[in-house]
Amino acid sequence: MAITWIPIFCLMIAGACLAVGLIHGVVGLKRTGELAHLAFSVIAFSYAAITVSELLLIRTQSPGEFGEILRWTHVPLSVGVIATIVFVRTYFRAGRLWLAWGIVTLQVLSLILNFLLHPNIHRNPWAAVEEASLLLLAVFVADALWAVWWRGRPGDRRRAATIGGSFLLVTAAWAGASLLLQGGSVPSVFLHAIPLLAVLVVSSVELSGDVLRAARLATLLQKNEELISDERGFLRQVIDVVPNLIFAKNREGQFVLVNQAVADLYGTTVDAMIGKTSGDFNKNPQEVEAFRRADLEVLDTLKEKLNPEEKITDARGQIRWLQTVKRPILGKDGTASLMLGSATDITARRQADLEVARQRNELAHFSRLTMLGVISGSIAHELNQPLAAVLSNAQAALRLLEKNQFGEVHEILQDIVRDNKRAGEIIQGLRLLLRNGESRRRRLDLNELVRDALRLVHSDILNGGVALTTGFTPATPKVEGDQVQLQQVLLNLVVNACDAMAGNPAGDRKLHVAVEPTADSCVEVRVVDHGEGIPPGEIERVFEPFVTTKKDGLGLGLSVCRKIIQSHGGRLWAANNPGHGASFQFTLPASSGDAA
Amino acid sequence: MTAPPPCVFVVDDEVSVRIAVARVLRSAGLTVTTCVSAQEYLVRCDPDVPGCVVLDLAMPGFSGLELQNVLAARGDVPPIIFLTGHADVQESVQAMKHGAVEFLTKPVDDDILIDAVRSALEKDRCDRARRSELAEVRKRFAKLTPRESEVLGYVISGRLNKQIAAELGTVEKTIKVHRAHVMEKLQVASVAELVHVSVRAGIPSMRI
Repeated sequence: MAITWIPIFCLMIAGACLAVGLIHGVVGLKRTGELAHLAFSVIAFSYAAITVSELLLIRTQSPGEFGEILRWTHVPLSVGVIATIVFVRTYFRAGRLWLAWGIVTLQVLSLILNFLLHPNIHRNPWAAVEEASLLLLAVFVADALWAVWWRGRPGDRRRAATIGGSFLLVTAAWAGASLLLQGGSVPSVFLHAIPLLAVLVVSSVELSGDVLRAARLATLLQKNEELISDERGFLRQVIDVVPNLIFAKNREGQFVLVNQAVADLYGTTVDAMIGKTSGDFNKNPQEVEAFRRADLEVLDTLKEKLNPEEKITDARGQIRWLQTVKRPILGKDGTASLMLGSATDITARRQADLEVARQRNELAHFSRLTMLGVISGSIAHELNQPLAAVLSNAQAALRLLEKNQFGEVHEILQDIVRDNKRAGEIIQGLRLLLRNGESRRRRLDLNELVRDALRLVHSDILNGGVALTTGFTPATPKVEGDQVQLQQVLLNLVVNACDAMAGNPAGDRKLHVAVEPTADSCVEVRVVDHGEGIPPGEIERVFEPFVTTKKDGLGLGLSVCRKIIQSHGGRLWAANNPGHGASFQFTLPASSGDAA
Repeated sequence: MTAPPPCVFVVDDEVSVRIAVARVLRSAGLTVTTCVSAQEYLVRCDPDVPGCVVLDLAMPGFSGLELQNVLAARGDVPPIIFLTGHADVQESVQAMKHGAVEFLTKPVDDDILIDAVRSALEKDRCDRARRSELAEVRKRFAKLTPRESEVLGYVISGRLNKQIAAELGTVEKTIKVHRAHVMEKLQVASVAELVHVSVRAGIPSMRI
């Protein structure tokens, strides 16, 4: 009864093992890199071979034949053990390597001994080599499972429990079987074959689960790809509809992304630009060089860079102005291989700004000419003084030379040189004030500027019977500004102050001009008069254009002054003094190099 | 007693001009004192020292014209040469009205300046001579009695002794005595001379 049942059972198990081995073999070969499936396939084949050997062993008649079959049974056994190690290492990515090599060495050794000894390794002290290798295999698998169990990745514990557990089982069973064989008991096919089948089924299900999951992922991936493709198309439309220039370049300067606006600017298509550099479309090498420098700076410093104004020559050779932001796209390693840029065309805005600035300059110049007309007498006088001194000094020197009196001549000549220089400086200053040019900013010492301006109106102040006092603060920070325009503001304020006091009795015309730094990193200039003051409701109105109290004034002076100060980032305002008269004061931000 | 040398005051707030003008004048052999302001001049000037002033018109505080007014009020105005950067017609008229001798504009030629100063010094010399002579004459007039002064008034009006006597209700002889005293005290020899000194001393003639 048993005799007829066992072969069928064994052949079924062998068949099942072959089937499983074949499936995983195909999967392993098809999906390169999946060594685990191949290893599993080899295990399955070796199990099939072992099961067939078992059957043959049962059916042997002579001990000699039995020994010979048992000897050959060791071949699939060794292959199975080594494949198990490979499977554990590749599938779980666990197991101690030295243990693995130890087992392999012992297996190979036992296989060699198996063929050297007669009839085989069993019933021999050398059999311990094989038993040790199987025990070590059990230890290896158990250790690997332990590691996987505690690794904590999703699914690890389940895999460890199912596949690892069953391998452990079969390893233990083999070890047991080996002992039984050693003990001379009749080998039981159930002892070997059932655990083998169990482990194969469990592992196969588990591995098939992986294959199924991979298939699901592939489907999902395909769906996602479609979705991504749609999204990409949508985003493409979004960036193409944006009027700003959007582009990305790699370290070599090649465009990896541009939107329609960039292509339009260069008179080409988006596709034609990908992989090309700015130099392929821009005919201005300086611009290309500047772009390249900025790109590399962004990629190297990994910092966003804003260029508030940059020039670009378009396909028609016209210059356009851009405000550009460039930022690095950071990779996982913290470096950047791509630079993303976005640029706004500010050409129209810039032209409007330039026009406004030009008109402001024009108005300031006009107002300056008017003011210079007002103080021209004073300027002439100021120029006349050194000229008078030069003439008298020169004539005195001539007279002394005629009389052969040389003593004082050297000193006189020095004075002539000094006065001549002074006259030159006044003319230079005047030329500046008369100039109608673009506003030029530089670092200025307001103390010096105020002193120079006061010198120009010195004579007017004198003739007006005005007593001038000044308050300069020696270490006043410098400011960034247009010398001419700021002098214009100051002259305007001083002339106004003098005019305001014209009706005062002599001796009550006091003018104070002060320069001092403020707490908030500004420099303040104050012009304090002793006149009638401003009617309370009019304090802001005096800065409106065409508002004037003078008979011959256009009323542009103060409105222009305020515009000038505002364009310098400062403030100009008026206030009545507690006692008498009014104060006009302005503040300018201290130049950054000097900020306290 | 020899008179001190005349001194030219240069008053100008502008140091370079002040020194240069002073140099020109010194090179012409003149004695010069410089002042930075009108106030300084008032402190330093000595009315007894002959001289003149070269005065800047526009100065802080106390202008040239104001100084001229102050000096005029004091009574002894030295000859003033105004030196100004810009010749304002109104100012120059006012200056000349108040007795300025010259009104020069800067820059000024050395010859013009020196000539102006020389003639100003000459004028000062004449003024001083006239003033001291006048003082001398006035001293003499002061010696006259009221009656003699009265008689003098009639004499320089061209009245005869007889008429004067009738006028004063006395005899001709008395008038003759008074007249002789007047001639003696005023150190004159003739009626013509008497009239001359009287006019210079500002004695009014008797009007009928």
